[in-house]
Amino acid sequence: MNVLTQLIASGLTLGTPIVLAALGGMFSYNARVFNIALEAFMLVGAYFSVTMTQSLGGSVWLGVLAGVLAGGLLALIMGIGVLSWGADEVILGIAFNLFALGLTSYLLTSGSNSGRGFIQLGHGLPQVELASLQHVPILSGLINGHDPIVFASWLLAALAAWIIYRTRFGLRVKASGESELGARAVGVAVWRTKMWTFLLSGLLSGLGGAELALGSVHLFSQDITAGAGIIAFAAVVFGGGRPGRVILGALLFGFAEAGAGVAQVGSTVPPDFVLMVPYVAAIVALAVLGGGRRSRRQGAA
Amino acid sequence: MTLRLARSGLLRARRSPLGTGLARFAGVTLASAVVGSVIVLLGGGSPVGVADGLIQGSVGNTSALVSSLGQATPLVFAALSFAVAFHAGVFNAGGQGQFLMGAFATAVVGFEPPFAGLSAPVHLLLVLVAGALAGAVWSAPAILLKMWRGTDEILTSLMLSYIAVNLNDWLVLDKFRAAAIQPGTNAQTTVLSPSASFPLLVQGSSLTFMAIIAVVACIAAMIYYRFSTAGFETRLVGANPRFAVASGIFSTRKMIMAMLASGAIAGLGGSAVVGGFFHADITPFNTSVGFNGILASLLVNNVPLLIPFASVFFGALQQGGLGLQILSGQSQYIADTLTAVIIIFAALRRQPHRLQAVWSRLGSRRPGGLEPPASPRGDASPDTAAAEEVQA
Repeated sequence: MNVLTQLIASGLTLGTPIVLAALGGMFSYNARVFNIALEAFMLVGAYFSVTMTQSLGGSVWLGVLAGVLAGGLLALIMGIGVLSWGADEVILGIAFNLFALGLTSYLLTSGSNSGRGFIQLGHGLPQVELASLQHVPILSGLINGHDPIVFASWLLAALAAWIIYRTRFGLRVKASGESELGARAVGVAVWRTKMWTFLLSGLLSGLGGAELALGSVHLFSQDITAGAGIIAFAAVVFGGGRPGRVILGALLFGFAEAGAGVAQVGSTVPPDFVLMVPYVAAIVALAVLGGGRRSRRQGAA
Repeated sequence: MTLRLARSGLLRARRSPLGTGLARFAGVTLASAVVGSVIVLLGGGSPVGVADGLIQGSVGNTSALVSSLGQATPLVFAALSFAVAFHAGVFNAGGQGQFLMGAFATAVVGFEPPFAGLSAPVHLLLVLVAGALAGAVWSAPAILLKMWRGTDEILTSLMLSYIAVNLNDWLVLDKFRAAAIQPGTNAQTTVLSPSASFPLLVQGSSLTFMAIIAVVACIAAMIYYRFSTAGFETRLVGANPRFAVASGIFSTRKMIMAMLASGAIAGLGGSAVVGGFFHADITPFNTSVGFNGILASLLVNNVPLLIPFASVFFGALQQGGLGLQILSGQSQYIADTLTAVIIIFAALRRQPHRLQAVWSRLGSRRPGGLEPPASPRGDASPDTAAAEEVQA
């Protein structure tokens, strides 16, 4: 396998969970909800996808469904806190991130799983291996070795862009974000619309978490996301809520880590620095290229 | 951000009667206990047993009590760190990273040759300065990028924390690794030399003199923000940066200074952990003191003088979790979970109108006539929420 193919393969593996969570965050962002809890939704998604696969008789797809639903449920709870109970979304988001970390760590280390620190599955999502593509340089990196969720994420990305730009729901989301009073004046159910964005962000982040856990490693370990949700959120801010730029940002951060990983092989650079790369890339991207047209502050004023 | 927080009542001193406050406290406690019990049941434990273990482990006997105070010490620094920045309108979400860097600097200055031969007071002072400096340095990129490029400091400081975790991992494993005292424990650096070991308040415990410094720092922050001109100006910047600029205050400089101070305080929290617990820098640094500090500060509306109390509460919870793990072999992470649950409930600011309607129908003494009419969807715009609070 040549380097470029390897880079694409590894970048897609690392980038897909981020893309999925970022798609979810994009909906919240357009409704002007500073949804920093993507990390929490991803983490519970990852945890429940693995444990449910284990306890529901080894069906990976039921596990994925459980992860998606767990992320969605947590997002709904947070949505109620923010929209009905008037909690500040940043504060609640930080609390939810810590809650998800505490909850999954607790469940991971108590009961039958105590003492191991991780749950290893015998198998994960099925991977596509087309023998005919094996020697086609770039295409094999795009297709081979990936699971169906990777391909589904491309469809979901197109779907999300279509929803935001071309549907009534997308317009309502953006209207609720632009001006809550204005939206209400023209008959948009702001509460319901924002709740939908919370739900979507939870479901998509949950799917991202499931992909993270079941896609290539087939295990859940403590704090397995390790900030992937934060990276996804950085991609959302970087893209200013516009689907194309958000996806680009998410892939950029994923590919940055993949590139560092490919470059690190055989060199003396310690692997810790590879793990730093997406964060550094995100900070640099936000600082140099800016964080989209609208900042949260303008919205809050 | 700040404006929105002001609206949500976080910044305002709420002139609610004591009864409301107590009812709120009881509600948060009860709700957290219920959610905590459900989680314990999910994990296959018994809620009563866990509650008993948490209480025994945190306040059950004198040594547990002292350990709880020891756990609270770094939390005070982390919480004060968040509050100091918050009052200047800067949301420092990266206390964890600054805390880690402070811990590393403390450990390194605590044993490295040029420093190791110094006399005790000088060495100790240097160790603390190193911790504070490292924390401040790690907080600088977030605030500088905010000032130069308008990059959101919540995101950058948060991401800097994850970078700090990996950096600390590399520094301890590859650069400063020493033989672990007990085999099979976390990798660590060389233990602090005797001249840099922290004086203990109680012999054989984790309670060091840093506890006193922590409380003094809180009092100093209170005096600064309440009684000094500079502190007043800083709070003005936090409340409304543009108005502050119009009044002739250098908002940018104030915010940068506040963030650096915040980072330095978080770094001292790292010093406190190294001095009190590990006596070295370790990896993985399996603690989220930096994050829990944010929660502790938020619990008391970022009021510096109340931070020690919130920290003792959360510190006791942490110690209870450790006791639970050691005594009954159950997972300590229930403490982290409960901490977050408490904050989730404490962050709720207003009741949904539907619930208020239910209360008044149940015959509560709540004067229903003063409420603004509930909107058909059962939601409230920020403006009606604000109006509601003015009326309350």
